[in-house]
Amino acid sequence: MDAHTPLLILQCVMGHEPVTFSPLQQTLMAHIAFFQYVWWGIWIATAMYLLSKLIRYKT
Amino acid sequence: MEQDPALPRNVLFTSPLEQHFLRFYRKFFSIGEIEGSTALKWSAGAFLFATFVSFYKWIGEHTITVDAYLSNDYTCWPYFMSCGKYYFLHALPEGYSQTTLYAAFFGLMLLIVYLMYKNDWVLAHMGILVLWLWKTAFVFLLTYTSSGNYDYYDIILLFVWLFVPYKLFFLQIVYALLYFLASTIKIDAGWIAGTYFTSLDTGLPIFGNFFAPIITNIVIFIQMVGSWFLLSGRRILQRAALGVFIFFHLYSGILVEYRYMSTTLPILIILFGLFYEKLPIPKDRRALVGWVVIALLCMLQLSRLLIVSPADQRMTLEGNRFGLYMFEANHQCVSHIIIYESGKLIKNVESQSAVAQSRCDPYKEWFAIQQLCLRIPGITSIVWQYDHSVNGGPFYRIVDEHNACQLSYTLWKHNPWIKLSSDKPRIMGYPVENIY
Repeated sequence: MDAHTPLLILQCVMGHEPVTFSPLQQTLMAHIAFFQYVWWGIWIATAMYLLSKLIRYKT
Repeated sequence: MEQDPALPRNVLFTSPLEQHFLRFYRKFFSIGEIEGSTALKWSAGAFLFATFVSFYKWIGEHTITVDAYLSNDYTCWPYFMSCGKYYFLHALPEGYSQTTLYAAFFGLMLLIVYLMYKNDWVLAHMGILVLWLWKTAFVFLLTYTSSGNYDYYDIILLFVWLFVPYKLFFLQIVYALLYFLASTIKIDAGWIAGTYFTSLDTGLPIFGNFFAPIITNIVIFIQMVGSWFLLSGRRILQRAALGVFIFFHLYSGILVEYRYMSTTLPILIILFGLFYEKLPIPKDRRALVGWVVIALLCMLQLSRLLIVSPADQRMTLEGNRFGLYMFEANHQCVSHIIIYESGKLIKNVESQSAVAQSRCDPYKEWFAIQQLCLRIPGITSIVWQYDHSVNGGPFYRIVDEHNACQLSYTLWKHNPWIKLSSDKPRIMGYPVENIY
């Protein structure tokens, strides 16, 4: 966090604790594009699998 | 069934023309399928319950009232920006028309239950169609706010029940598809790293923040892949998937309370629990309507990717409501407007988002500003600054305009006045933990 940039505290929030991220979260966020590709890959693979099952299905 | 003289429709409508119309209606909407399926009959009860829950909320709201229009406390969809001019209801305490309308809907719901009891599914279908038309008009024509993804679920699933042949098969597949499509909006830091929940003051319920990234990735997996096991012919896998989703919805109720559960759980248990049967895949001409619906749902869900990149979409929220958007991000925002009349400052207004689930949609703010520009005589300009934080990240100034009255909003492409990450918006501050 930039020391010159203030915390913005909205009126509705209960506490005044700044948002922090765990080391695991920081690692995941540092490689977020990779993980997004992985999940989109699984999504597309699932869609393709379902589509191929549908096409091959004999009534 | 059709010729049963005791059916209310055969008692009430006896002329040849009326009977001809009822026979046509029954055939056109494939109502014979409902008459022959316990699951479809019970589904009607589930849809009626979900409709009651929505109307229970809407009866007291001022969202689509004349008073909402007059006080500029409304938002229309970008494709029907004059919706407020068609508002005709007054809610309490301003008038009785809205409560009268919803009291009539309640009476209709009671009548539908009676018709269901009498096994007259043609008239019951007509009654449910009226409720569906009002609900669809409310959600997709009359207001941009005051509805949620649970309303999308109700409208889509009830559409299949009302209009699509092979109703039970397509209800099953569309229900699973909605999970699959909902998983696409979770492919983001909010869910991959679990920052949606760890940015909350109260954290992730029960499991706690330490396990948040693991739990959220499991949820992505069960929605993306596990949902299809609901349709499995292997009993153990199918029942395991059902159990997982029942738990998932009960757990999500800790955050979203009864509304989402009342839409999803009854129909989940009816379609995949009590009356589940693995059905053959229909491929004839009658099935075309169902497949077109599925293709359209997929296209609408993915359409936002054509407007703005996934990395920026949570920030601009352009195209967000074209598909499912539940829990897409934890939002915090501050909007600051300064109104000038004949070059003189007349009002300085700052508004803030209330809770994580309140979408900080620049469109909503833009719509309100445009109404001010039209309604305040002598207005010369409105300065508008909009700061938005997503999933606990920095507040970025994504709108910084000297005269917001001159801005226009485009539906199907990116609006250049909303800054993307490539525009390097200024960081205005960092958020503290918020509440759901």
